[in-house]
Amino acid sequence: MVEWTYLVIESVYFILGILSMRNTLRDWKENKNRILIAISAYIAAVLLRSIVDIITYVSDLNLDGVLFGYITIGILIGNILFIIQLEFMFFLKKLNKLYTLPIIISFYIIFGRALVNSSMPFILYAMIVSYGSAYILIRDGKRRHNGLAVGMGLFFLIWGLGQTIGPTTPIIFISFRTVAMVTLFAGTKGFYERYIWPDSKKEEKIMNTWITKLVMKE
Amino acid sequence: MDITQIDYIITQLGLFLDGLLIPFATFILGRKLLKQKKATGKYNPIRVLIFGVFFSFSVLGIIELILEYMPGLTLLDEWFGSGITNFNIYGFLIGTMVTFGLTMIFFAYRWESLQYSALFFYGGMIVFFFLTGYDAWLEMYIIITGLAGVIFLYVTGIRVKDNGALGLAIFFTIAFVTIAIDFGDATLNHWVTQISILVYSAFILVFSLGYFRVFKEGGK
Repeated sequence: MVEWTYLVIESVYFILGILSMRNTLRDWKENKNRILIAISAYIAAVLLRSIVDIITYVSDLNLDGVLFGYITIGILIGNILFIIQLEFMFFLKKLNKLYTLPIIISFYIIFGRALVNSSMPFILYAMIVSYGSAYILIRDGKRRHNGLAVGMGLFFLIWGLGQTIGPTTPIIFISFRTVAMVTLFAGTKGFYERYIWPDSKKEEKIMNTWITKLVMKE
Repeated sequence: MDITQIDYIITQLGLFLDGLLIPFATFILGRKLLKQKKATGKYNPIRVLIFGVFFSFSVLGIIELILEYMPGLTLLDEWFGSGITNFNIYGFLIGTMVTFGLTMIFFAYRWESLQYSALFFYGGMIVFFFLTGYDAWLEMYIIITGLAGVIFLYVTGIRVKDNGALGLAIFFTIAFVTIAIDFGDATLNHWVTQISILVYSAFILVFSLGYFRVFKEGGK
């Protein structure tokens, strides 16, 4: 049976995700900034998980079934998302030496899940990654008046809260992540520059400088 | 002098070389490391890793010597173990050595994003063991990492003409024979192990005193 409430919320989430990705790709076409491609790739990965959920809500097909041991598709995609998220953060912070760390952590979490039926390591990892990323992005974004960074930071924060509070209650989880996507969409749309920080043109210049500084290689 | 007596003498000599000579060589390497730190103001990562390998080996030798002469230490004996199939002190130290060896390669080749990967992987394996008790991959890890390390150390040593890398490659090759290769015969295994200990102990002494200089302009 179709679960309409979930489906409507999930659809809003999905459409906002598509629109956010369109915004970042459009900006990338304008300034050819690699960071925007990284953000688009992250949103695409997030939407992949959403497609799995939509199929689950529409049909009786349970795509989030067990693969082997206690590993589900959800856990697998969740780990891929955290890999991309952490790689993105290390890329931003130029921590090249830590690039293999997210892959290794996810490998152990997935392998551990195959042996032991416990979500605790995954939840702890999700909390650390989400809140850590959120803190860094919101702090940097506020300091430099960068709406995209703040949007992503809020996305990680609210998404992480949803993951922590209601991992077993779908309505809480999908509601939180839809709100998270709204904040990201607002960031990609330039909402924060326009309505929270005045003098948007000046701020846009600051944002571009910030992004350029971040991706500039020595 | 019959074969049993020769065996006894070689075994005891091997134990003393492992328990006393290698720690002495490690001490010399440690002093060199600190000297260089004083001169340049920072630690040379390759030297730190070489020191790490020798330090692990020293601990191994000292514990073996202690256990041989103090047989009453049952708890230490139990924790120490004897093979690389489980996460005991022996397996842990051998794992640490091969991890440092592989890390050294990544540093030598300046593969930035891989530099800490072996340490992360091995660290993860230890944490995983403490959380789940699972350690079935330790032996495979040691053999694969050890082999990869030895091959790359030879290639590195010859390509960049580095005495340190080549020296470690030779040391690992001899030590690896005693750890990983099973000749299918207990007596042969025993003799190969004892002779290997004598050979690598002599080599370590030469290496740590700085006399191993195959390449005149090389690093060590």
